[in-house]
Amino acid sequence: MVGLGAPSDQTPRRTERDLVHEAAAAELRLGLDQKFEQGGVEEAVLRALIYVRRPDGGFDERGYRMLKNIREMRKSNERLSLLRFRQMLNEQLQLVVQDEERAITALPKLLQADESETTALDALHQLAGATGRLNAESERRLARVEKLFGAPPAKSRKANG
Amino acid sequence: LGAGGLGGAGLVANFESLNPANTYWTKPYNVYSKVDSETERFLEFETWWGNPVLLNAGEMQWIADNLFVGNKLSTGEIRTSDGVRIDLRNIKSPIVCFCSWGDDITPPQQALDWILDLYDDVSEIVANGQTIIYSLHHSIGHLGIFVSGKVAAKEHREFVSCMEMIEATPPGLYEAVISDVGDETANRELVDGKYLFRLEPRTLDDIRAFGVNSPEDDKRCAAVARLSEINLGLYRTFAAPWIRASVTEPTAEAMRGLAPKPFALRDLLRPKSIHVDDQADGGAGSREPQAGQRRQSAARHGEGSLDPDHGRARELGPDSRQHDRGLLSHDLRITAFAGDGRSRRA
Repeated sequence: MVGLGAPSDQTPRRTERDLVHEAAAAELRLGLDQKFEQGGVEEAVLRALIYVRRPDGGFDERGYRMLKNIREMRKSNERLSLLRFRQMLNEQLQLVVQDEERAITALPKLLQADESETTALDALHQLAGATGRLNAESERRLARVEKLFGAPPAKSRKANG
Repeated sequence: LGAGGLGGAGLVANFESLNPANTYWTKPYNVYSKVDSETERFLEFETWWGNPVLLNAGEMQWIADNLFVGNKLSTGEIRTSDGVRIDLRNIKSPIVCFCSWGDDITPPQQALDWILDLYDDVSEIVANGQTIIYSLHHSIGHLGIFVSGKVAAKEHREFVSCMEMIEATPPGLYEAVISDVGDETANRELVDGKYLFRLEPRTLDDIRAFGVNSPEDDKRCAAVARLSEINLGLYRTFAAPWIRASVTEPTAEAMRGLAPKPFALRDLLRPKSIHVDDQADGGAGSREPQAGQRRQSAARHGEGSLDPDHGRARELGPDSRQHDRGLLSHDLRITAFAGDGRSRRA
């Protein structure tokens, strides 16, 4: 009577696709490809941290506070802004998600020409241990990363909580 | 009928009728059982709750058409008056979504369904650079999520204290899990307050598991939306001019005064009832806490034996409404009769 014909087989309720969005996402993926070998010690620590903590999945406020404490200890002109940190964290996460092996084997390149490897390793230990004991898989991953950071395996490491 | 305005009293009354056990028993009983400590909180809440804002009729109609019935926001079908299409995927800041299993207006499967309207997979959320965090409370009601003191002390506080961490959280879908801090918690000094705020990555299947609408359900909702549009059209053409001509601002005001809830409360707060105050003041001094056993038995009687009966009424409430909608739209003939509003716009 007032309707416009019987209900057709319509596609399920869904927002229409937006090609601009999809193009931007594709561009992001392409750009990522060049970033595996880029970055310095901060990128290296974050990438290693993501790799070590990934089997566990979640994260909590303790890790974040630890991160802030480490930031406070640095010289004020070396501190990262929140925005830059967010970008960096996201970028490193995408790299690890896209190709875990490639991201990790590239770690030594990021650490090259940097004097502060031991500080970096300390920071990594503190961060990885912030939420308590690591599970077996994370322990294995931590040991692997330590080698890449050039530390004597499992010597300086002490359970950080 | 409101001469261009909509008093919220009808909405309030409707909301209360969804859970009669709480309205007629649990709430008054709670005040009665803790009369010395609850007075202020109760009056504060009831004053706020019993004084609905006068809404603009056009505004309310728009909300009902586009959000409640049409549910158009999450599918990007809403355009602003200057023609910009609203797409929730454009939100760049993290989105925090509070929901609760005790919410009988917007239970979690409804509160989170918009994510499924926007994305098919978490990787799409990540590619779009959006951070979505949801929090599930197990019992608090629809309004309690925002106004309850208990929720403010735990959930709101944790979210506020961890806002910076949320800002820094990489894109994806997470559930915020807030747990008690115990002695065995490692690095306690890093935890702010009594609770530990943790973000767990989730997938869209976790949301689907809550039991969201099937395509058939969507079809039924579309039929109801179409019927509602037709009704509105008929009303505007045939009934509205007569009603508009017969209602003036004073009659509208008088009718709002007759609405059930504000009427009762206004009466209660009137100076006339001051003699009640006198009696209450007299009583306050001589009141003694009940002996433990008696209070327990009263509580058992109050909360245990009467509430379930009302509770049954509550279970009937929303279900029977859903049932109406089911009946109305289950019959395919009705769906065909109502046509498909969306294909017209396509």
